[in-house]
Amino acid sequence: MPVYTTSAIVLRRMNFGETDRIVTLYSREYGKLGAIAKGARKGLSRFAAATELLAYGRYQLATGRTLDVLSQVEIKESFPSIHTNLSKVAHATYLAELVDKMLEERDPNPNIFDLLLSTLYLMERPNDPEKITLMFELQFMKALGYEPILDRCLRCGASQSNSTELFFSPSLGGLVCRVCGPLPEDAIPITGPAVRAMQELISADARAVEQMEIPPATISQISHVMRWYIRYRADRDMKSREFLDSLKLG
Amino acid sequence: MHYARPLAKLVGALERLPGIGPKSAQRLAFHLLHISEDETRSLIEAITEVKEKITQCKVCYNFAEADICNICSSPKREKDTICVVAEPRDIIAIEKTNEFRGTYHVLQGVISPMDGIGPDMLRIRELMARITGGGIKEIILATNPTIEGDTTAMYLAGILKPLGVKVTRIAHGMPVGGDMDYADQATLIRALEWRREI
Ligand SMILES: [Zn+2]
Ligand SMILES: [Zn+2]
Repeated sequence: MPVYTTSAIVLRRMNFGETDRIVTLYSREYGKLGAIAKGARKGLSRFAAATELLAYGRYQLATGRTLDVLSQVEIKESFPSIHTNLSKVAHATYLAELVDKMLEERDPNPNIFDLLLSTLYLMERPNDPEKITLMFELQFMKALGYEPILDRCLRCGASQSNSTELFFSPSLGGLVCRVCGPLPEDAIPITGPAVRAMQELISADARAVEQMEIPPATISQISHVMRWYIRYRADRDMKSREFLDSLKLG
Repeated sequence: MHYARPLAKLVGALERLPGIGPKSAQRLAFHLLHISEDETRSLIEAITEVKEKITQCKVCYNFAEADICNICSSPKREKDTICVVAEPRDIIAIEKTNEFRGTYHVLQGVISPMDGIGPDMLRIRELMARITGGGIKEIILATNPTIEGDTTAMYLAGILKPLGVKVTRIAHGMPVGGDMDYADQATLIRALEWRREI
């Protein structure tokens, strides 16, 4: 059996048989892949912590007939601060589901891998997990080729930077004005500060994001727009979104 | 592979059991095909009896033979301490230690956002009702140290503490017989955080 090693983050796992686990890894070199971790649920197993959701490490895998088999692992980071903060763990779980649902197997994209990893490190630090999640959503959509148009109307091209009345259409993928025609049915009103924060978030590096201060009202506006935009692109809602919403209400 | 129709039906039924793949299902089916009539009857009886006689305890949601389980109805158990677990099998594990004298509450699962399992699908309302009923001093959260177990424990701590009850979480750290060198960072951090004087 050929053996290979890759840097990866655990996106999903499920119990299998008496003591095994099947994991979905997002690897930098090979993209999303499924692997079986034998004995991972035994207390003393080296694989127990390495197959925990969001664990990041170097994984050695042996090519199997249906699933590759985990043979060795070295954990680099298990994000203990995320694990001990309810809001952080809920947001990070959502990120893992987003990557799992939006990407095909064995379709590597090192940029997305690096984005996910740096996002988890940002969340591990004392940052607002909601802001970090919005940065991830915007940059992730951009990396997938769905960068939203935020500076002009995507129907007539008119600049929207001085416009007081702004609308975002999830199906069209950006801003639309009501000068060039009736608003599309899915148009969501959005404020200028929210659009500017989205523009900043989409290109900001880790340090810049940490320093950005976005008022809660603006955060929730962007969050609303991104939820509909991602739902349109993914053609479904992320299941973990529901729990996030319940935390915000309670 | 083509089975005779009744055999295919059995293999299909066994395959739906947890932890049983197509190969194990086939092996079990062939085994069952060869056991004696007596063995067959006692297996069928055992399954029927479990289905007929085992119900849920109306207090803690553990399996029970009556409305109230043996633990909840025992005068020897301390009713002011409730140990919250995910599944009835966790009770069996804790009971084996012979160390715990309180009672239990079975959530019947853990919060698992990715699978769409939220707090309202667990026996949390029933736990709150037990606490607001009075006489409870301590709630011990004994879910697994996994993302879902931690999420559930943190969620419960958030809603139980305002009720004025002491909420604790079972310690997680180095496994007995474990090797420091093997432990991951999260395990070591917890082991250090929850250290105690000896
Ligand atoms: Zn226009
Ligand atoms: Zn009971």
